[in-house]
Amino acid sequence: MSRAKLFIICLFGVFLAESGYCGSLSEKDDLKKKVDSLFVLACGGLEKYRDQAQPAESMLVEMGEKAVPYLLEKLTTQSAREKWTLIRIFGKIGESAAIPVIGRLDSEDKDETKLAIRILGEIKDNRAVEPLIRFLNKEDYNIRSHACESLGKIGDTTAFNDVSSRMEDSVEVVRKSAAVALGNMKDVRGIPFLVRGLSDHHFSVRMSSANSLLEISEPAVKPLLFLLDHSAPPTLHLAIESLGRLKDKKTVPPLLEKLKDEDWATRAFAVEALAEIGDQRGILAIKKMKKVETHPFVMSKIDQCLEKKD
Amino acid sequence: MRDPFLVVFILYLLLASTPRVCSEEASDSLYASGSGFEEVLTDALRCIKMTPGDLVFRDDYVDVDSFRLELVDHFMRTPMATKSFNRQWLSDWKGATPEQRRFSLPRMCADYLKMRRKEETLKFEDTSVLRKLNSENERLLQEHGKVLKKLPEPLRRCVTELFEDIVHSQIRTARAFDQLSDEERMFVRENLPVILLEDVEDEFKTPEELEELGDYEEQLAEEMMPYLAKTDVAKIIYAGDRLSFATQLCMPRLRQYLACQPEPKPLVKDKKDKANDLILRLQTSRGELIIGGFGSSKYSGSPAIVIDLGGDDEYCISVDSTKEFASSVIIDLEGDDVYHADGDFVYGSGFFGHGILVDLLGDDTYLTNNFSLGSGLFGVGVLVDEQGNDKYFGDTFGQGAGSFGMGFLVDMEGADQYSGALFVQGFGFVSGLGALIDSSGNDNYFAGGRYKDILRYKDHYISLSQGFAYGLRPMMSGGIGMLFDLSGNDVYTSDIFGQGSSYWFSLGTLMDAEGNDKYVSFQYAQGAGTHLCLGILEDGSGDDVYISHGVSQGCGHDLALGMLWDKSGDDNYVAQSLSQGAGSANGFGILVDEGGDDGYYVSIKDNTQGYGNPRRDYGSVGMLLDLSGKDRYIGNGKDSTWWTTPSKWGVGIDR
Repeated sequence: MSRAKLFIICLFGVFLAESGYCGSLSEKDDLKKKVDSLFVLACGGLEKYRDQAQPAESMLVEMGEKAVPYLLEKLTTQSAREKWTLIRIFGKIGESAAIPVIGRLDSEDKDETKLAIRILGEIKDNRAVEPLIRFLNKEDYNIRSHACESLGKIGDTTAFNDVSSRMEDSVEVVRKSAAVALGNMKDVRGIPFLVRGLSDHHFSVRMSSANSLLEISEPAVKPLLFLLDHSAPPTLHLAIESLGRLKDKKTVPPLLEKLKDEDWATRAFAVEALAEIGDQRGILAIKKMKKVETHPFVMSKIDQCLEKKD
Repeated sequence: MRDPFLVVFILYLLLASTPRVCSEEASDSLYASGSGFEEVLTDALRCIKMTPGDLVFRDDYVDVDSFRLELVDHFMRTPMATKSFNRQWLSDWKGATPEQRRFSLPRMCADYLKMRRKEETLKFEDTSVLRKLNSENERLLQEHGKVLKKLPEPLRRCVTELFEDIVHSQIRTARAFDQLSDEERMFVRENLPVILLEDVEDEFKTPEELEELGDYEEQLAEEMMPYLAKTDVAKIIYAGDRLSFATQLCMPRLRQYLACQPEPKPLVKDKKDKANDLILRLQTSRGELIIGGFGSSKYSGSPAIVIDLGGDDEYCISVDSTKEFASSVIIDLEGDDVYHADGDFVYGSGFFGHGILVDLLGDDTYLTNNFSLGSGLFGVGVLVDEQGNDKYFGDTFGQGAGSFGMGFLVDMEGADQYSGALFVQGFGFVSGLGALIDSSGNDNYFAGGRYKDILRYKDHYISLSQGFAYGLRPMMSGGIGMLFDLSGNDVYTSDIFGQGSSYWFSLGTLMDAEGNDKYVSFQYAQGAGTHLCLGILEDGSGDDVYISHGVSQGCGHDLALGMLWDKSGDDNYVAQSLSQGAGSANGFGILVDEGGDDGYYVSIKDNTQGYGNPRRDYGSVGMLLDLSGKDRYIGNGKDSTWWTTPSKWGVGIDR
């Protein structure tokens, strides 16, 4: 090697040392090591070290933005435990992690995309809404489902039309997530979609739609009352349950009618709903019914309800 | 002379081509026992605003890998039909001849291992390949023809035909790896056992060390996946089945020979061999061929064929690691024998080859390590023990365990003791099926006690045994694990994961048909599915006792089915939590007791006896259904009562 070349190399080395580049490299290494080892503990995979999981997670959250680049490297994990840990940590770090995580949405690794979508739902930053909407039409139904979920958690109604359209998705997992999201958005425009959801052929969609109607609350009463006379079980039973939970007194008379229904399950759920509302007319009717009812399930519901009232 | 057997074989091929994946008809008739189960199920579901049509899972919650079994997917889509698997199997077993029950299991179960992604089915090929074996046979006759001619005909035929089939199975097995280079095949051979074996020292390692180890094994698995996907499991099973069938053909001849009270003359010249009561000892291209007499003999080394006519014998066999695709057959006709393992992969063990061990009479003791006693890892392993009170000891992967192959342990009679640490007693791993079938006797099954469950507990051991199936989450779907005990008062003991349970796209089943049985476990047991899979424990008649701590007795966790079904008898169920009809994380947990005066006892009411917890914004399903009898409860239930619990969603019906 010529002297001139050697001189240039030495000069470059001095420049790196002077500029603190070498120091910052080792600092970065240290930080990475720290994040890695805290993350192993935070995942709480081993019984022996489980008491260290929560403190490790808190430390990572406290590190905040500093930890983000190293935590992002872990988004490709295949471990369910690690995925949940990342979702919790990023959710707690919050907004400062939003943009870097959005940057990972278009990863070539489908699992990384899915995890980034889920994390954005926990961060709840409105900047993620537009990027997430893009994923509602992806071929992988899990991606569509996670996008619905996260948009629901963010709760920004600008995504309403896109999310509500997923109530027609061919996969029940997506329809369920869309139903949950519509409830989180608490937008009355969601009612017709959710009422239809009560008749879905998969129970997860039916149950989620019922819960979401409760989130929207009073405006849902009228369409639910309509279902009392225009639907069959299990949709009818969900409508009865929802009316009970909404506790609107004007629903008492139609529910009283259901106490006389031929179907034992309908009578049982009407008992439960009337007891939930707590109106005296309902309670009296239930007490009267106790004397004549013979079906074991209805009887158990009557006893439960009267026990509660006493 | 062999033609009649070929005809039988071909007829059997035709029978075997009938699809065995349980049909919809089979599942429809699942409840046709007159117990009224279907009606009770519909009622129970109405109580939680559901219908029977809601009890379905998807088979594509994650991307479908190359190892997914069609049968598992079928039952994921129709989980309530899973019980029909046991019924179908039992019907096949009952319909088979006595010899088929012992030796045709690879064929009986072949369709269970049909891959979802591979279009070709496990069709058994014609026997034309046998013609290619002439040269090896000619060589055997050239080298040893004179000696062989001196053997009584039944013995000569058994030895020569078994030899032929060993050669055949080795050629066929090698062809299963045609798509892999030598390096790839060696990589798989060296590393799949590494993934399966545990280390007792793990409990002393630091989190970083364990993380590193986990990463290493994950990397190994990832690297292996493409090679494993190229392995032709059908060819492996075909080859193993052929050897098993050849053994089946030998058995009547040997029985007939014994019935004539023969006095065979020794054909060995070596004094030691004479002293060891050997009649024949030949060195061949595929290993030694040995025939032992009626006295006590000792066997060691790695023989290809051993036929022992009687006496209390001692075996200390090892596998010849220099021979790839090696296969062996041991037939011991009488005596109280002791089988010591000199290393792994012995005694009815197929590892890149096949192993058949038949022991007809006597109280035998099997002392082994890993991959033994009906173990098929890239091979088929069959152990048949006909009579006697036997003791089976092993460590990991054995007593009916299979991956990329099949492993069967069939014990026909006697009060037997089975003891192992991990992946034993009916265990199915990726692309594999493992079954332990005990036909009669009061038996004792123990699995665990060696490898600590460092993930969950300080003082419990992983078992993953006794009708347990397992996949490598999330990379490779699992297999099928079956433990079938057909009669006797039996005791089953496991710790973490066992007794009709499963993990990751697999099916684990334990069926005990008769007897007053006792099931003891700690967690993930007694009809438990954990993470997208199916686990079922079915008990026919008898007054049974079920004891577990949690996630047991009809518990499905994470989009999985866990079902405990007891048909009759006065039974007692004891658990602490998340049991007796408990669904968790969108799983279905179902406990059905059809008849008898039963007792149900739990210490935590909040998540038992009809409980489902919420997850993924909806719920799980837990049902306890007692169809008749006067029953006692500590918990949520009550005799002749219907109840729901404040969970998403739990229900119980006691009729």
